[in-house]
Amino acid sequence: MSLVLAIGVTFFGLSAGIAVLLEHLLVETRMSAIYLIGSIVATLLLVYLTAALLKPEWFA
Amino acid sequence: MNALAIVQIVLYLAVLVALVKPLGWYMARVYEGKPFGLDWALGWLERLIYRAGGIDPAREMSWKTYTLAMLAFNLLGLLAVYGLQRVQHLLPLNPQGLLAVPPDLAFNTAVSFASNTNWQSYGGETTLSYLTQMLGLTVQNFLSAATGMAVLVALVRGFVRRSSQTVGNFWYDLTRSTIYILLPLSLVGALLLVSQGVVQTFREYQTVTLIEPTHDAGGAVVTDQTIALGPAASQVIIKQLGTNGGGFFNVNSSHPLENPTPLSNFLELLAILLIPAALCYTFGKMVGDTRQGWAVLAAMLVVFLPLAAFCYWSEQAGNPALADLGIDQEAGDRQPGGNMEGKEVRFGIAQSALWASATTAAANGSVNSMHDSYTPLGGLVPMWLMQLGEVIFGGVGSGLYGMLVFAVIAVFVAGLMVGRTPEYLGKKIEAFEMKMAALVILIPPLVVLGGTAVAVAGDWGTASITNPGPHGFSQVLYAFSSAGNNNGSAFGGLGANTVFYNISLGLAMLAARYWLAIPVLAMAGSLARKKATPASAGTLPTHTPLFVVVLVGVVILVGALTFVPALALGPIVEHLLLAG
Repeated sequence: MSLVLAIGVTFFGLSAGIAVLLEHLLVETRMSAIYLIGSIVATLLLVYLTAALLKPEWFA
Repeated sequence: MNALAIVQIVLYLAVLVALVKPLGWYMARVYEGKPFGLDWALGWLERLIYRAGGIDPAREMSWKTYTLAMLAFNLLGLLAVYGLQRVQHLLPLNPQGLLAVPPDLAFNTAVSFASNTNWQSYGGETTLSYLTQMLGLTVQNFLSAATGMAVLVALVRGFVRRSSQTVGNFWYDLTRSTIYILLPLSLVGALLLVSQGVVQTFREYQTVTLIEPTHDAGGAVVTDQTIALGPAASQVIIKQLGTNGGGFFNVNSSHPLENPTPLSNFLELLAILLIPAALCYTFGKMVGDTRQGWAVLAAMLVVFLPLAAFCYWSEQAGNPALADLGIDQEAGDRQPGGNMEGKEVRFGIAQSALWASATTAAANGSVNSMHDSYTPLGGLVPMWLMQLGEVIFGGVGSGLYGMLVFAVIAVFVAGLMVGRTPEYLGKKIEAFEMKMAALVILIPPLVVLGGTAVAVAGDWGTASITNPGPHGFSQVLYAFSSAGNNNGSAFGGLGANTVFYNISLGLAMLAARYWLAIPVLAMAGSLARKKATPASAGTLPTHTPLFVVVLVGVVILVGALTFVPALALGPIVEHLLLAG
């Protein structure tokens, strides 16, 4: 039960947070969910590439 | 393509298109609150639900309240299905004495049915009691479908309303979708399926003596067979109508007690696309210009038809490796020819390929043949239809709201090309709408490609592959394409009932469902606040063949640019190896 509660509540809590974020975006703040997602993806990619260069055996 | 196959496909499409207008008209009246006949017969039930739930159906909601109601309702549904599976061994209607479902599998299944995906890591007849199937899965089949329809209606209201802060009432839309559209259609459909031999009973599984004894894998003689039963018809019809797709039995609509005859096959196949297609007309009716709805439907058909025909052609052409061995794969009086592996003889190649295309074009996911056994190019079609974002018909509600987002992108792109102001249905398309549209088209590829990459990066994902090489990659890509677009069908060769796949695909289904619905509702809220812009010489008409071409181009380009590199690593290279 703890597993589904943790994941389910986290996900839906996060979803409600996204709705609030978009509401802010709607009323013309400068935050953009797209830039947020893009920066997270780019950061993850950078970490992956750096790790793959320095420690290729991790991905063998 | 032989004549019989053409007749089957044309007949199917003719019946489907003929039903679009009457059903679409009916659904528009349901959502607009106009009289439609059944409200007289079932109005008491609607009022009873409002009274029991303390709901004022006339209370309008902002898009954010609408979103939170949708999320809260779906979270409760998810928890209920999870709980039911975990305690099913203590509850009635479990004649086989099935045990509690393990936590990771229960989580995956609960997410799967709450999100209208209906990915199945479990085998229905060996895992779930009759009570879990009925009270958990069938109920979610209705409610998840109604949720998709409610979100669509909110978006359509966004286009229709002028300077409004609200997009409707979630409970009103949910209730009316369920009791006036899904319930009556399901009741009639279930009775028709029972007439064809689809089983509907609470009796325990039956053991029968085989006419011809056989041997098991270990060589021991087998004289008996256990035949699984259950209340299947009532679940099968809504799994089709609600684009859910979760089979009562493990092999879904290939099972003779779930889909026994060519007529039951036709009815189930029709039910897959019926509501998604009819909603196009509903949309046109609600925005006051049915040509808009027909244009969207035309765009869907323009993509669907060639892909379905290509899938059929690939399967009928058969396996090139067998052709090289001199094996006759031509259709004739004595054999259907082509690639019959994984297909039911009673359906043949045309009905199997048409089903595979329809079930993946719509976010349905039920199968009447095993997609894993398709030729590489035949299997590419269902996979790509899912990757197009489930907007070619798509899920009930979710398919059309996805397509309307693509329409918004299409008018924006067209506007950029010719210097016209982007407008759709009298509403100016501005930065906020484009940001929301970008989220809707970016999240599924992120989930699908990211999930696939993680899965093939280590033993946690590759250990489940049963056919290593490019086909194994296809199995994983198919699984994440299915979960990441809320389809639910599978390349069944992948052993997906592992903790890794149960959790990762569960998260993929959650993200694909709710993180798309939120930007769509945000767009609805933003559009509803805008004033109408009168059509001018600078307005791009959106009901013309030209717009249909632009819309199809946008859908195909986004799908192609995003997924063709991944497809090249799976089905395309597999085809080249096979043809080599």
